[in-house]
Amino acid sequence: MHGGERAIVMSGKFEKVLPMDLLPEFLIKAILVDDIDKMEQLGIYEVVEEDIALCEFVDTSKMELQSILRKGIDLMIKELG
Amino acid sequence: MKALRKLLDNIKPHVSKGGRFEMLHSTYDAFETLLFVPDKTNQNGVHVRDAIDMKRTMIMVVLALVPALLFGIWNAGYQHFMVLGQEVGFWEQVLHGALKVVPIIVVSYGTGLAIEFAFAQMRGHEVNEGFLVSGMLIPLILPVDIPLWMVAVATAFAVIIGKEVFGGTGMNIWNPALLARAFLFFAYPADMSGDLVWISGLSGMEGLDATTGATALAAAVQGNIEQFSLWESFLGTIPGSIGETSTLAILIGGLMLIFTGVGSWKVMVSVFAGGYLMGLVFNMFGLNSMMQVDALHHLTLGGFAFGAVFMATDPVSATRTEAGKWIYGFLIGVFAILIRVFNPAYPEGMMLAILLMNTFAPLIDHFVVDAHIKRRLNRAVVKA
Repeated sequence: MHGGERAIVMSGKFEKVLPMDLLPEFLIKAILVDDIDKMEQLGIYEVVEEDIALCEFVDTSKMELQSILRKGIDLMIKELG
Repeated sequence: MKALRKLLDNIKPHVSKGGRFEMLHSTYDAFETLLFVPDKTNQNGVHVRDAIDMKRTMIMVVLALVPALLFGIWNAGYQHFMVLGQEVGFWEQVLHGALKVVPIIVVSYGTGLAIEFAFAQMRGHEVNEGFLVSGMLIPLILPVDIPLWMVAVATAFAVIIGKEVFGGTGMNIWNPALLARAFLFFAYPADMSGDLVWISGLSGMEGLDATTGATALAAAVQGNIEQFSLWESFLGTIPGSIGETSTLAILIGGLMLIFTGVGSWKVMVSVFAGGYLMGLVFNMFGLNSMMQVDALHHLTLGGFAFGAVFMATDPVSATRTEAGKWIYGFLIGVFAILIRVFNPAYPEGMMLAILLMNTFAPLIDHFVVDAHIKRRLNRAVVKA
């Protein structure tokens, strides 16, 4: 891995590599704080891990975006279940 | 390279868990990752990561600052000898400037990095790279005659109150470097404004003609802007803070930032557009001497260009949405000129404008995200 994990610093990098009309950075933040309403509004139903693999690749902060998204999806399934 | 690796490997057992200097782990880690790529591999998720990381991002900004820094060093010497009326060679000017500027940089980095390392140690984190940039920005926005202890106090204030209380790099709401300047500006106004602080060696000689040391903005308030031609203020051979005078050197740095994708061109362009438009509007009225300053000239004066390229683009304190960046930058430009024109007591409007918009950046983002959510809701079709 090229570099250590950091807080989110750079902005506007994820949108460039995501084909969907989403704001991935805000979606990730909503998942991190378990904000179910925001997650729904920002379109968590439209993505799975592979969709944001490129975001994870370009991420300057070297976060594990896919694991974070999976946590969010699991939470949604539990809440809806 | 091999010798370095060996040295680091020798130190490693002492700072790892259980070693004698375990508490210095973060410090060791910072130096190791500065010199070598970390040996951690990806555990899950994508197995290849892009080469860009925070260190590379931050070092790019520092490199972009180098033209402005070099020019500032020369200009400090040039202004000094010009006021004294002495003709000296190029290298003598550089030497004088370096003797003035380098200590400020050393103090700023020393204080800030010490605090940054201490906090990383306490939290058990890796050391954040953010201060590499702030530590370079702070000297560049200070007057050359600033006492060194003030640099230390301001840096400590900026790092602790501006950044660490919020949780470190990435969490701060204001740009730390600007906070340092604002702190000095309001705490020690005598050493941060007026006509004597901008040229080294001038504060000791009260007898000199006061107008010789005035910055272009102070002159513009009094209607003496003709002293500083557009070309002079673009090149930067005028009195002012160390790194902010040369618009040319700043633009070179700006191009580096845009080319590498580190700085947002949207913010830069919209700041200049906002400032230019506001300047034009004031030109139309032209009620006082500050309003009559040519719109293009406004952009080359004071810290406008420096703020637009290096301060406003700070991704942490700026807006995070792409649409928000246009609004954010535009308003910075507008407010900078507005404060400049209507508040002669604070000729440097750029600092206050950016801090103000830093405060409002989350609000802009909120509305942009809200609009985004509404647009998405409109698209959703419910089959009943």
